[in-house]
Amino acid sequence: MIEAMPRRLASLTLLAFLLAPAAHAASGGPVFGLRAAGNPKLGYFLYNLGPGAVAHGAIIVSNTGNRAGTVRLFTADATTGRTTGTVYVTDRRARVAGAWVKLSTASLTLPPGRHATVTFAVRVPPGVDPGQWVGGIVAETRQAAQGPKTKHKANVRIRIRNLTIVAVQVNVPGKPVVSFTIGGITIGGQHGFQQVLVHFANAGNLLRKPTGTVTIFDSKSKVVETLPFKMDTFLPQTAIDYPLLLTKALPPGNYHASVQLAVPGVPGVAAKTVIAKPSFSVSNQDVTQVFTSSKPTQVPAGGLGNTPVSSSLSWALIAASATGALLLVLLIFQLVRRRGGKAPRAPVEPLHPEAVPLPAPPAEPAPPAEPFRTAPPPAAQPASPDCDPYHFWEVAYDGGRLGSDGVWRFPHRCRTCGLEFLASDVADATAQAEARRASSG
Amino acid sequence: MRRTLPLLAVVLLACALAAVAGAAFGVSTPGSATSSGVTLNGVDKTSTFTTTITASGGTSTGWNISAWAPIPISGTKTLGALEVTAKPTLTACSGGGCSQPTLSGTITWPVTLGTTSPSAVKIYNAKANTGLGTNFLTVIFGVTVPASALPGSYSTTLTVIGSGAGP
Repeated sequence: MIEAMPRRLASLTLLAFLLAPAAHAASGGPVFGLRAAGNPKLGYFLYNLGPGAVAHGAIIVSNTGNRAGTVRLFTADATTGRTTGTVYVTDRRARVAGAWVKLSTASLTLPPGRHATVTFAVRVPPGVDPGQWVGGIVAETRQAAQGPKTKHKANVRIRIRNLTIVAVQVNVPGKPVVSFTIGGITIGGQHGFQQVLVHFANAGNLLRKPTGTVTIFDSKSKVVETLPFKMDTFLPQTAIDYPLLLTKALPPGNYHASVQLAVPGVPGVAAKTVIAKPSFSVSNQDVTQVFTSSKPTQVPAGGLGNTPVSSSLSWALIAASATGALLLVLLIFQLVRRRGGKAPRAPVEPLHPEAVPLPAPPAEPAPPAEPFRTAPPPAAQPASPDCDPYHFWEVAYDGGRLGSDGVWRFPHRCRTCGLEFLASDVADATAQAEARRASSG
Repeated sequence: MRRTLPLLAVVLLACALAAVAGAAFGVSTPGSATSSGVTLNGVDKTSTFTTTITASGGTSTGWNISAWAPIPISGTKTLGALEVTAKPTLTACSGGGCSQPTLSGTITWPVTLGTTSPSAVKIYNAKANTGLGTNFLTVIFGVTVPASALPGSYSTTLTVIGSGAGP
């Protein structure tokens, strides 16, 4: 019996561990996920197929939600996203690589916690050019929800559609071609964020991740600013107007730029550098468009956990987690109590911290932690008696600066206690205020 | 006791691996939202709404979340494009061996969403070996309501796309 108890404890721990995600997923409705069967390390499908060749594969569709639901399955072509990276053309029928993939079924109904395997065939048409082709297998959860109408003077009802996609890449053998072109520059942006849009095209047949710089000169050929950039995947035979945020606004006038694009090579094809010197102009209207539109919205003080749409979800998650943790503690307590009369208590107690690895659910909703800060302080704590209970940040949006990390920061000044910080939002400003308070005393 | 500790360690390790390795990646959101109403008074306004995106089944290959939405319309009237107004915030991840995502590459917020699927833009991602298990992103979307907009209840469909690692 004594030997059996730790095993039972371990079993309970295992059960709790496996139930934890389910408790969180229990926010209502089916949740469908996709997994590339047989490709756990890569996470997507990669085939080397000549024209006319066929390959077969399978995808695992899981319902990790708490209700049965129907998922629609279809295929889509891939293209280059507006900020680079692979995106999928899901609002029209697949015509290229997506059309090469034929799924064995177009929809599935799954009870909660179940999965099914769907097979497919990839058939490369005869006569296809060599190169890297990308499509995707898409799962769409069917939802019929519609936001309620309100009496506000102007509001937007948003239906939200969830898609999950697994990529299917087909490499058709042949001569690799690395070729990019640079087109013109236009000016754009809104909410005080001015951008230059540089036209790039991948005229080759390979997926590439180029890097480069755009140097902007004024009409007197004086450098105004230099913008380095690092692109994500750029698909072959696609073109985009790539946006680059200007760190300093350009007043109306004529400009020219030097655009340099470094494209990595592949075995047998050397890396290439493409250079272009397009001219462009900024009109009064361009400036008006960017700088008279409404200001960027900031995260409200006190965090986002109390926002209307997310609150029900957060509370459901917290309640589910808390209930699970409570049950687990009760079970363990019961086991330990039962064991107490037959064996010394001491050997069991030290196991508890390791045997209960569930993250402790917060007793009440806390402000969501910023992911890239080492120690986000709770926003609700007063920073000083003068700022009890909150800071009242005034933000100078016209004094924004783009940091080297790609984040815009604006001067924030607390109108109660006068503290000033350059911060990305009020939560950041509050965090800096807390850090200053901690370091000073 | 000597046997118990290794047994528990093995069980916990197995649980952690099972939780993240056998997962199928997917995203889920509440099915709908309504943006805050704005009173039109002759200047541009931003109407906002907040939603939580749940990225479940994250594995060691990393993941991406992108989005697009057509321009909101009300009959023949239109508003501006949707945007993610600030960096989404994360709450504690869940699941054995879970971890919060670390961004791969640069995403600069605010991100204006494309209005067609080919112009979908990345709004968050997780580099390899991060974002394991289930993660919850709180995202604030904004809709520009130009000064010239006409009163009414506009509508659109926001498509949130989750994808695991890819080319």
